[in-house]
Amino acid sequence: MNTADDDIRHVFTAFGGARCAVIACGASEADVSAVVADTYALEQRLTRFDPSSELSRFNADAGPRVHVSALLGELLRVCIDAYELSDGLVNAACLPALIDAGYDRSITEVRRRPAVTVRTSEWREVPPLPGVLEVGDGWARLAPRCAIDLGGVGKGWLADRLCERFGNAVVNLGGDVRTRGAGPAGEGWTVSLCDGSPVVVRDAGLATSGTSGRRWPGGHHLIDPRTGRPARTGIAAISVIAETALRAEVLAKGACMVGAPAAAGWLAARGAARYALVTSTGALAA
Amino acid sequence: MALSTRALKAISGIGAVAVCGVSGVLVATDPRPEAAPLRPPVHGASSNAAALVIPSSCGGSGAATSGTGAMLDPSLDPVLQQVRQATSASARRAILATLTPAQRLEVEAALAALRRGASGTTGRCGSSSASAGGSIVPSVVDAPPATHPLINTYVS
Repeated sequence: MNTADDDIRHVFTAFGGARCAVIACGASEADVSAVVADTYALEQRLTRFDPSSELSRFNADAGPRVHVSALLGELLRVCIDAYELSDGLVNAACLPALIDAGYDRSITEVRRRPAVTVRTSEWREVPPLPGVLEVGDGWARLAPRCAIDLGGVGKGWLADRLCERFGNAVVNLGGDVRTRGAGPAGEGWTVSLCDGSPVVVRDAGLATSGTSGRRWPGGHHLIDPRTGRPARTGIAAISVIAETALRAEVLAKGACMVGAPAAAGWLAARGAARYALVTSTGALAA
Repeated sequence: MALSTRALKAISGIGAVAVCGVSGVLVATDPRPEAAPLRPPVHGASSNAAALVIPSSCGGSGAATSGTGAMLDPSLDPVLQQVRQATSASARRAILATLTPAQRLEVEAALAALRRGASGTTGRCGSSSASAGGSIVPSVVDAPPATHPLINTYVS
């Protein structure tokens, strides 16, 4: 059995200042350092804030069929999966709407500048993702004037891949958490949900979404694809536990779109293992 | 009735051709065994469950997808095969350690695409049947209120 003495821990920031952590039992420093390095590598390749990133070039090349790496191809497929799982409520094609809402540069810069005038006249429904994105073996095609934001889906996917390298570990990428194994003391991994309640999990994914995080004067980062504008939801934060970090991320974001009254039923229908919710008024629910 | 050696050989040959032909037709018309790939149970198994190799199978297909989606740099194919054949998580990490971070991400993506194809779980975002290592059900129990969590989740 692993003990607390033989786990390796790294805490770092990535994805625009998001707090990240990895704790692995029975692994080497090099193994854990590789997790950190791979996180930075994914961020560098798929950030939308660098025009030379692979994602930015893919968005810029919208129209014809273009070659994509194995990584981008897989993540684009994951976006389509997320769309289907969420009945269209998690739509990676929301980037133009997100930019219209004011999130056109890093969140640090968006928060620093004065309130932007949001072009409300341009708000429009986000097109269904399967209708604008086509993915094949080594290629993908995005409809003209569309753009993809991998956002939380990319973080959840990566947390799963990195954690699955270990038999007993936890990986937290900006709130998208994946655990594996029995934890340092053999009793599971203790994590806290958005309402502050601690739970012990094994072999689980956990993610938190909501309007209380990346927000700025006049907007926040959760675009409702049905309207193309920041979601009007009564949910400040919601934590969801599911089989993987990716699934938890999609369910948490989808539940935000559904809203507080219907979130419980929506999550139950999709097999969420558990959730905790904080409403905009501060009320707790689980 | 006595048959000559030549006649026996001819009959034997015709029989072999017939058996092979019928088998070939059966295989050609049923390329995807309904029960494969088999997944060993992992509940209560050791941490070596992470090392279980799930064979690739037919690619999944969604409304906007075809094939596996991942086209790996051919120079990484041997590494991909090594990782798939590794028998423990530590062995797999040792192989990945020989790569650059960008190469590791490519191999991870190719592995994920193969798993997706093997389990045919398009649209499920890593539900239990698509997770590495087979069917794993998350366990969640309340911790005592005063417990100090190792990890906090939050809106990022």
